[in-house]
Amino acid sequence: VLLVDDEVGMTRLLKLNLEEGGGYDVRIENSGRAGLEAAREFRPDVILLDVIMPDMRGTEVLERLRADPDLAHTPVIFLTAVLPAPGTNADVGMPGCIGIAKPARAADVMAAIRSVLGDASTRGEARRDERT
Amino acid sequence: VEVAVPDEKPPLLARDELYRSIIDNTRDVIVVVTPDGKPVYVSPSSQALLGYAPEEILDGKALDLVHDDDRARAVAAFRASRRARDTRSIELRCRHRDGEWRIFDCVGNWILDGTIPQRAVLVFRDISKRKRAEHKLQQANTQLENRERDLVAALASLRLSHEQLQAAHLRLIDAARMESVGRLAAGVAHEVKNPLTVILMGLEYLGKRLRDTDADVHEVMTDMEEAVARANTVVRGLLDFSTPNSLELESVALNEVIEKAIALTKHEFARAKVVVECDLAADLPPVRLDRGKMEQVFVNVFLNAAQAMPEGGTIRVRTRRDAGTATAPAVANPPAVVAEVVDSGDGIPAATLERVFDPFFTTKPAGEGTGLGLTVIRRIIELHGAAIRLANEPGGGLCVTLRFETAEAAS
Repeated sequence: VLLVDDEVGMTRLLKLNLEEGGGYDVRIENSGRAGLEAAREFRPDVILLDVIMPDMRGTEVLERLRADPDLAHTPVIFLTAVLPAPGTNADVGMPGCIGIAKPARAADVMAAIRSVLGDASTRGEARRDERT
Repeated sequence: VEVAVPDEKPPLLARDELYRSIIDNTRDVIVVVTPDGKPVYVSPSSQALLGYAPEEILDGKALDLVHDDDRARAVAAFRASRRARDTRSIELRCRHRDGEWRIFDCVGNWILDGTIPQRAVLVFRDISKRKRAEHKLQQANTQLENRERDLVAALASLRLSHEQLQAAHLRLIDAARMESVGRLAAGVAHEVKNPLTVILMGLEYLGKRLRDTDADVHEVMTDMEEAVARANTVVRGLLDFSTPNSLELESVALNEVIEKAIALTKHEFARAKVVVECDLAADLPPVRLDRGKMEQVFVNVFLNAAQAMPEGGTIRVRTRRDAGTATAPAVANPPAVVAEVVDSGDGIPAATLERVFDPFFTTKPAGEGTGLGLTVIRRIIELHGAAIRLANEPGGGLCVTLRFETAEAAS
């Protein structure tokens, strides 16, 4: 899991919760630009992305991810204070993305990860089918 | 003209000449009449002032020269003066030979033999010029009065415009203030939500670590989680308020919206021992509004009303048509559908009434109200271009009036 959020305390806590509670391998980046670089290098299964960050908005990070063939299909979960209702998964109107409103529990985040990874695995297989 | 009057008595002939020269040279017409009004002498000035030689007047009917409307008055004044043997002054119009009316001030004096009137000496002074000037002055005065009246009216309308402008200005300041509060709220909400997330996730983490510790720790952590949830409710209210969500307008029967809102709050009313009395007009024209948001508004208004009556009470809900008034365009009051919600509580103190729409203003105990309910309501009402007004009822209780301009008014 790649976690990109400028709120340092939150990323540290979410990493701890995800690692201890879900056994995930979590990498943290605290800026959009660093998050993009890490995504190319780390090739995460899922990206947790903040929307409002000082250097680059999460939506711009997503655009660049989608422009990269290697990362175009990596599921993205927006973790944002912009959404009104807390905790729930929301359709943010972008394909392959869902949103979780802050403040959220790590449990909500894990549920969201499970749901997108399920989607991604089937999509991944579909992709492989296309290639063959 | 200097006239030398010698000390000793002048000769008779010389005195006659003196008198004649005075009479000949006076600018007034002097007429001597008998007690029954027959002229026996007319001074030569009649030629200049009336266009007739004295003989012509003496031979003809002198009264014919007097204006028809003045004749009876002239005769009456003459007779009254003869009876009283006094001096009277009267204004008469006499026609010049050229057809023009001249205005004369006529003064009569009686020459008495003992107490018997012998002759009357009437002096006619031409005051046409003065009268014309007076008339002009009067006209000018009237004009001036009219202008003054116009000016006063203009001033009043200017004052009204000024007051309206001032009111509009205040509304604008208010709107600007609300908008800046909204922007601020969005910023604050964002800044608060991130630390709230840290606290929530921190609690979650600690919860797992401290799984085996005593119940007090869990209780403290539960309290903390609840505190986070409460803080988040406030922030969400702020965001609701600050994000001007677009409306989904449709043509809706207002009564339906109200009935739905009553249904939604039914349980709350039952719990609070509140009775709802409806008087919904059947012939209301539809109004353009966002059904969901307007339900939210009425639910909020109803809940506020219920909370104003902790001992229970009655909420009266009334809808009606307002035909509107179309007096001056400045105070035009277009036709509308009006909803009134009146509770039987204690009303709201005037000072509080001014602040109820301010963000974060609440009369509820700390932690129970976000103080954003009415702020959000007003936001929604404003988005609809409708109006909301809170006023205390004379008999206690609060009346919330919502006014929606109807479609025919908008067109």
